[in-house]
Amino acid sequence: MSPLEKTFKNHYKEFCLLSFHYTQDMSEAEDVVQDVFVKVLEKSEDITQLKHYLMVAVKNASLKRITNKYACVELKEQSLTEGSLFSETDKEHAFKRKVQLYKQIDLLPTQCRKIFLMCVLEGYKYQEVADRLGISVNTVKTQMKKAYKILRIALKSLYLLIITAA
Amino acid sequence: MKKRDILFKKLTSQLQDQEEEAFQQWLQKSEENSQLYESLTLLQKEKKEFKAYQHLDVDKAWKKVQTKSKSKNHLPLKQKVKKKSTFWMMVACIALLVGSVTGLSLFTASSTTPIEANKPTSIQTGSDKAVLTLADGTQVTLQKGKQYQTQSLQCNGEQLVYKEPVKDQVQFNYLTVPRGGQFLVQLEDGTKVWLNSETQLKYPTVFVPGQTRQVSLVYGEAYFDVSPSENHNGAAFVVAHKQQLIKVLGTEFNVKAYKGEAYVYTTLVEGSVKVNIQEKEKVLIPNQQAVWSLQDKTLEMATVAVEPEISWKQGIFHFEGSQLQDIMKVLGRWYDVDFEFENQKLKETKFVGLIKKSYQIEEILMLMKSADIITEYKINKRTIVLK
Repeated sequence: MSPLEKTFKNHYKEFCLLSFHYTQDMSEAEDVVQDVFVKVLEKSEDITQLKHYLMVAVKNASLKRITNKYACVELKEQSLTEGSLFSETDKEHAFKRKVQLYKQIDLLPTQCRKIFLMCVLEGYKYQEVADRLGISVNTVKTQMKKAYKILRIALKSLYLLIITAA
Repeated sequence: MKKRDILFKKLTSQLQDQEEEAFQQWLQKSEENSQLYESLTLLQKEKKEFKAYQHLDVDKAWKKVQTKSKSKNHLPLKQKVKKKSTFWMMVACIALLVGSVTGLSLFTASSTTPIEANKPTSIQTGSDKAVLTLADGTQVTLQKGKQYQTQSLQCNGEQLVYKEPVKDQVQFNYLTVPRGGQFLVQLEDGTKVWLNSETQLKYPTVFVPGQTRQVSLVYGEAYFDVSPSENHNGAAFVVAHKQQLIKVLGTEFNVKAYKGEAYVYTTLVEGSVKVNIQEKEKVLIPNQQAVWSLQDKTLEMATVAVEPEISWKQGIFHFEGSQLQDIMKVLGRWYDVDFEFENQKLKETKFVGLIKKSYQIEEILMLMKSADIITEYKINKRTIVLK
């Protein structure tokens, strides 16, 4: 596997999230990321710091896409978390946290993830999840406990990582 | 009650009032608890995004990249479309498209008494215009709809093109774009220069073959699409501004050096340039920006998002977290107005957004009002007071 293919396989979803941040549309984001990789494939020269290069390239391509698409008056105040109180690095950390959180959820065992998402994301009650999946309420509770536990550990190391990297 | 139940109840808004305190206690008990809660509420807020994320198929996407790449490789090598030449066409398309769909309808919908199109307003939207100063001091006003032609140059009112020289006598011309203007000039060597409002460029009408091609950005902002050195016996292209020299071998970049500003920004889009200020020198690669501080005499480099820097050339102002006072400075140059802030705090508030240059200033102000960015504005001749 070439370094480029490896980077793609490992970080494609992350690149898409980055592009989504600007385009607010996942299929648009996929298109942008794929185009960036097509361009890099054509270059065939070695790029040092490949991932960083690709991140910048994806950001630029995304900005270009939205400039062309929505060239309209839309001046909006940066959302509260991105205001003048917070620096560029804070934004970057928030993005990194999101990427990690999504990744960790992806890594949960299938059944555990399914139950966790039904409860937290879809707002089903334990009993409803149990009925829908044909399992006992106790199993639902056990799986939720497991999900919390895994995420808790992952988040802890993640926060540590960001603090030390800062 | 079990702890995780209390978290779950909070997340699904089933928490009773009397349980809130218990939840707060749980939250404060450890950093891990608050991290978990913070992450999960974030997840709920970004439900749509997360779901789209989950559906991403990496293997399928990789196959798509390979197919796209292959089909591209089968095209003739020199098929790369030169997009720059179509810029003004794109501007027109965008203006048409957006004007008819988003902006205007938004504008009229939000105002109870829509301003009729023919209502005279003293403040004009910027347009293609410039003053050409010939070597003998003659000044010619260039503007949309006005043709101008001499032996060595021709102008259709939107762009000025220098043709093959009649005689090899080097003379200098100045092209001055006022506030409220923009212009495109194609120099004798084929280099294209887009000039933003309040900008002056000095250049020779003829370049001596084999010698360095030098022009000066006297002040303002310009985007250069430089004709490659290999087409000119290797002659480098140099853009001078005060002590700063930018050496180029065929590339595209933006230089921002407005009067009264503390910094000069050189942003590279394609190729490679060397920025030189006396003994200091930096080589830029694409997406890098050299920032020269006129006060501190320093020359720093940074990686930037290029698009917001150069979108002005495509008829759009693009702001990524700029302070409102800086945004208004940019608008001021295009509409030839000055802004005053009654609320000083507003000055430093940061914004992201896009503004189409074809808009009327009042449309922008109305939109800012309806978005609660400002509460009121007052136009007093060429001064606009923001409240």
